[in-house]
Amino acid sequence: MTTTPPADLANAAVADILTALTGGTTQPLVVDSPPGAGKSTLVVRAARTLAAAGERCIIVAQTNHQVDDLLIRLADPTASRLRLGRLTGGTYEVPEHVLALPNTIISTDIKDVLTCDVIIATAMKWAYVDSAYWQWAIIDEAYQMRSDALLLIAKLFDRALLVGDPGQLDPFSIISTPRWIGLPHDPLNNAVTVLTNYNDAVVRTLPVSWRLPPSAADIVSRAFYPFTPFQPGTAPATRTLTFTTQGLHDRCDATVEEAARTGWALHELPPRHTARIDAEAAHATVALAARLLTRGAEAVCENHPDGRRLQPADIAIGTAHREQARHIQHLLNHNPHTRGVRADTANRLQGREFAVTIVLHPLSGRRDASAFHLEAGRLCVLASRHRHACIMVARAGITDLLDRHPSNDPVHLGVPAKFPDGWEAHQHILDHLAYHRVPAP
Amino acid sequence: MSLLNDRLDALRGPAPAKGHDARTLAALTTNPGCARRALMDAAGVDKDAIAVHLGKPRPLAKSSIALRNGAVFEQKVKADGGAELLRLLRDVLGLPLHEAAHTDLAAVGSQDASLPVRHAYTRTAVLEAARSPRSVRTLLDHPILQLTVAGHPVYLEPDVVAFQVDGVFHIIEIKSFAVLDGRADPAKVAAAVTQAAAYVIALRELFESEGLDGDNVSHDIILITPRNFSRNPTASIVDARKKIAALTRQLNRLTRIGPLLDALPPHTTFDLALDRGERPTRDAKDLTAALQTAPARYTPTCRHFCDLAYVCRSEARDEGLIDVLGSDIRDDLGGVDHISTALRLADDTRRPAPDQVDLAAALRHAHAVRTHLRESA
Amino acid sequence: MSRLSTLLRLEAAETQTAQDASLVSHFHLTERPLLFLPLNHSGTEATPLAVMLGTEPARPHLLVTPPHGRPTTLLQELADHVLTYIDSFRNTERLLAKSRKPARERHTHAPQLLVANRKSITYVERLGRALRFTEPPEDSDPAHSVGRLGQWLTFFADHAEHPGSAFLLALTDLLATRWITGQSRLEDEHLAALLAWIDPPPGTTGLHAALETENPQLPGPDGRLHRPAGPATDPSFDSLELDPLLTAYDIAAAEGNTAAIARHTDRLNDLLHTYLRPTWDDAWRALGLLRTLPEIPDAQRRWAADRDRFTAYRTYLTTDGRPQPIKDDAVSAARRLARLELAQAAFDAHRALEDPFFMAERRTTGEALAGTVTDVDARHTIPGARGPRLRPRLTLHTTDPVRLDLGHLLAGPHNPRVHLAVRAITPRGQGTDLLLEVTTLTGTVNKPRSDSVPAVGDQLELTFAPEFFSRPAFPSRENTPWTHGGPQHNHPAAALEETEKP
Repeated sequence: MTTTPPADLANAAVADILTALTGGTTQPLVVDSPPGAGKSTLVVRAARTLAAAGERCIIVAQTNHQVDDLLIRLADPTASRLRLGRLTGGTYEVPEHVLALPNTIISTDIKDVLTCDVIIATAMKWAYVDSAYWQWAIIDEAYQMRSDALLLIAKLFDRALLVGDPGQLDPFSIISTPRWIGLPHDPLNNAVTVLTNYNDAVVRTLPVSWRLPPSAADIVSRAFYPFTPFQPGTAPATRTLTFTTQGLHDRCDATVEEAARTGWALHELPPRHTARIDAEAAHATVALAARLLTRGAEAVCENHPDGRRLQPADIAIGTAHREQARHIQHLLNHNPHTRGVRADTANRLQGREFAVTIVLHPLSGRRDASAFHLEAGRLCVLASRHRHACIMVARAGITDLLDRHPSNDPVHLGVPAKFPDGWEAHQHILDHLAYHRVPAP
Repeated sequence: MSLLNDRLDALRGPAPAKGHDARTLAALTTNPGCARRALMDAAGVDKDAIAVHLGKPRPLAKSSIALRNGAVFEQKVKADGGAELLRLLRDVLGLPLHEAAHTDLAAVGSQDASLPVRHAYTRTAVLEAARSPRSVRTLLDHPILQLTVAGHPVYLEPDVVAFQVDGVFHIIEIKSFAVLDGRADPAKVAAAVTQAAAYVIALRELFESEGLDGDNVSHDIILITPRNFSRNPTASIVDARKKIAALTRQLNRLTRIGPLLDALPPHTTFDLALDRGERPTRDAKDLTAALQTAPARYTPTCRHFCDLAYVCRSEARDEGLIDVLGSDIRDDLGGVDHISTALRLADDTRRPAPDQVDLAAALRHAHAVRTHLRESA
Repeated sequence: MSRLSTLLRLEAAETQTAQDASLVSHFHLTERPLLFLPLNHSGTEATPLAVMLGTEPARPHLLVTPPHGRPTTLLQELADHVLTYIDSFRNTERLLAKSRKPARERHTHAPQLLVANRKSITYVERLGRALRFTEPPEDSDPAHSVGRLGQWLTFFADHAEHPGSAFLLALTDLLATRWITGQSRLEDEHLAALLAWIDPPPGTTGLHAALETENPQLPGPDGRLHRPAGPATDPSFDSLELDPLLTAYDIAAAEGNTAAIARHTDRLNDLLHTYLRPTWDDAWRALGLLRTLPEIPDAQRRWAADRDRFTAYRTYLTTDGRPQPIKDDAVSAARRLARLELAQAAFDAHRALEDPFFMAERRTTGEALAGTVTDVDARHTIPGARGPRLRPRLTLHTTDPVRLDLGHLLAGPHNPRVHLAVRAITPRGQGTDLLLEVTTLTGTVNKPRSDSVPAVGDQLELTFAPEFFSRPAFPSRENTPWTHGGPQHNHPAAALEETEKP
């Protein structure tokens, strides 16, 4: 069996999308992108392609952080020059390094940037723009955008390229009402679903994850993208994580070594039902982060073939609840080794990338598994942020917990079943983690 | 297997075994971790009779009027050899269906045919239809199928129809809840789909045991319900893939009945010792003691599907278990099982065990907040 | 749910006595609410078997569908009652034009529908849906039609979804905010059992009173049967009493025995009266208990907004008057969601700032903390484009667990409009010192507003300051974009939305 190199596969997919973009079709384009499959790269290339073809386009992202990220890539001095416009809100303080970008106008007023080749802003900022019109809009993280936000900006363009990761968390609202379930324009639904309910869209998938290492791509693909499998962009030997100092040979070392060697580790604490804040588990996440840093982890990858010392900013700790994230962040800030490591919830880690992630398993220590904790998107985000390794911290007994709490989602008539089922995805990941289990203490 | 059956028979006593119906399936799928329920349902014990005998019956769950309305609706759908049903199927499946052979498997044989007898009829009818070289259309009413639950085959007898067209079987469920403006109570739909999923799995088991392709049983189930505020039927297709996959995995993972039986003291029985007048003579205390050898996993939602709910609630309350307050409260107090323990940790009169330190601190804080609130009120 | 309410539930369970929770009322309770107790015909959708309703505890009106009959008469009577009640609110006040709002009329009083439990709210919605498209018979007054009843029921049900609106309230919700029982929340949905916990007869505990109440076949502590409050009838009632009566009626009808028919019809009325009356009395007793609570200021503000919507909807009925559409179109759905989100955020924020119990709950969820001001620098400034800006700073010492980040904005009931930004978090002793900076209502360096700055020794309770986003306008229905199905024309929602303007 011959296999196409991942780079060729990915290039072919991107070329196909770019051709569709400048081709004659008037259908909207949707690109489903698994974690780290080069979404931002595609957005930038699409913008460049449209600019080269003389089409004016805008880019819509969901957060200021995402906007700045894309802007930096668009301003790449080694690529052909684009006149860039960045619209900001009145209260947003643009970081220094973004202010310093060449060929870029940053303004709160659309009039100042109208002449630019590409204009970029958050969906919320675009909603305040009117009396201007573009041929194309490129919408990034479209699955995280609520469809009512699309309704606000759709007046600005008549063709759209929507790029996003369908496996992540659905958009959020403080309002829960069944009122709109099943409607094609349910405002609580994501922008892609509503757009495709009303329009025949060309749907493409990016087939290669450049972020996830081979150790993760396969299992994440199987557990969370059962119908649109993808493969890793790197060979196993390309990504390595090694330690420059000897450990103490305790459980923390066993865990970080397992993670460094295999890309996964389940740091399993003794079984116990705990309240939402499990101090021992929280300490374990921080201790593991500290151990990775104090042992001078060296990360080798395609971008740093000679290795690079792991820094606090390369590590993130993911949780299900904000309360847990705040608690852990507090601990991180007060540990001299871990200052700079970020703790946050799955919702806020969406779209982010780190060398190593440490995850407080959503079901750790729980007696019951609620729909919130079983949500496939939540686990998917947490298990797919890393370039090198993912360490799950959990109390033993989650398997039993899952057995006691079968999937029991309500079923809405006329609403297509959403795959994967959270309960099944959890089972998949647990089956996999069983091979990387490090009992602690 | 026969040894296992003997042990289950002993657990039940001489009363005839009850098959799995909609309710026991709901109990199985919503509270699979309850060993007491698992044992009693595997043995086919009449849980309602036990609850009545112990003086803690579950209030009647189904109104005779609602049941009758449901039955009338079902008859209307199935009348004239399923004419109305065929019309609906034509609409949803888009097939040119004019007629189909309608076989009522409940009416096969004598009136009181036992479950195994009716199951054998079903099996024959299904296999005949599946193997028939001609493309036949068959409606099989009230089929009895077998499903392996916890390593033990049980009979399923929910009210459904298996519909076979061109070699593919569909499960049809007739339900009396309304579909209003294209929408229905999602919990009720989920329960219906779960039942149908069990049926799909059982039918596939039957196919595969005969070397036939299990995929000949469709994962799309057809739900027939009243439409809007009328009693006119409407058909909806529901994709049951998720429920089938989840239920399959769940069935594979259920604790085997054998080990659950092994955990009981020898000679344990839930026999009500009925006298000739069918009156139970079992000593209530003795029966309660027997029940308590099989651990229950009570939640307030048990009342929706388990006849023993009030028995288990009373037991949990007598023991002072947090379970009686609901799973949200229980979750909030992970690591503590008893109400009094939590309260003594909160008022700082009990030393927390090492694994209770975090919770105790949080409870003491809540206690301080409460005291502050009362003082400033 | 908070750990405080968990603790109270445990205490209630151990002492078998309901515990005080919130001591204030979050909703305006009117002088003359309409209590509405519907029972549905089992096995059907939105077909009332009986309704007991009225505005006076001593005068319940019972409407019953005759045996095996259609509820046509019942519905017309129901329409008469409810619409007469709604029409009785006529007085208006003149409001002068304010910055963004033109001058307008507003009703001084408005109708309020009270039901026993949450399921009854859903029932009101279903019934509204079932009825609002009913065409009025020829030569009849549409203002008194069953269709109009459906429109009003839909109006009430829509507002039950609007956070903070008091048009349609469930008594079990109100009671469960005021008291916490020692049973599960699921069991709290049974009005009689909930009330038994809260107000047990002398000589018994809440637990025992509730257990006696919950068996629909055994008399409760007051010697009466307390049936589930609806809208579904108790199955044992159906099977053991209603069904036999209907059978007897059928036999009489088949025999043409008019005397027996009349007798059975009367018996049905008696049966349903006996079924509903205990719930009726329970409901008024519950209301009596709730009326002793002082209302938070926000309840009055929200009720004023409700009255505005009532006035606007009445106007709509006399002008456009088309029934609410079955489903929201894309623009209506998005606008409604925006409205609900705004209302929810405001409701939550005000409850925390105006109800000490909600603030206390937040302390146990890590969303609020209490502490003492230990240091104040009232003259602290930060550099600004036009010279230094006054940003007074203070130190707050707390022993609550701190789950805040730098930069978070806090506010407290001491002065809700003053926002404090977290500038430093330092552990000290058994607790934590928070360095806070006043960011609003500071005044200027030359004219400081000292009332915005707490003093040393002040006890503060602080929670996250409410975030209010202004929202851009959604397109008009006629301009629904291609992404959402394209333009919609002449939609009743357009006029209806005018009635919802805040």
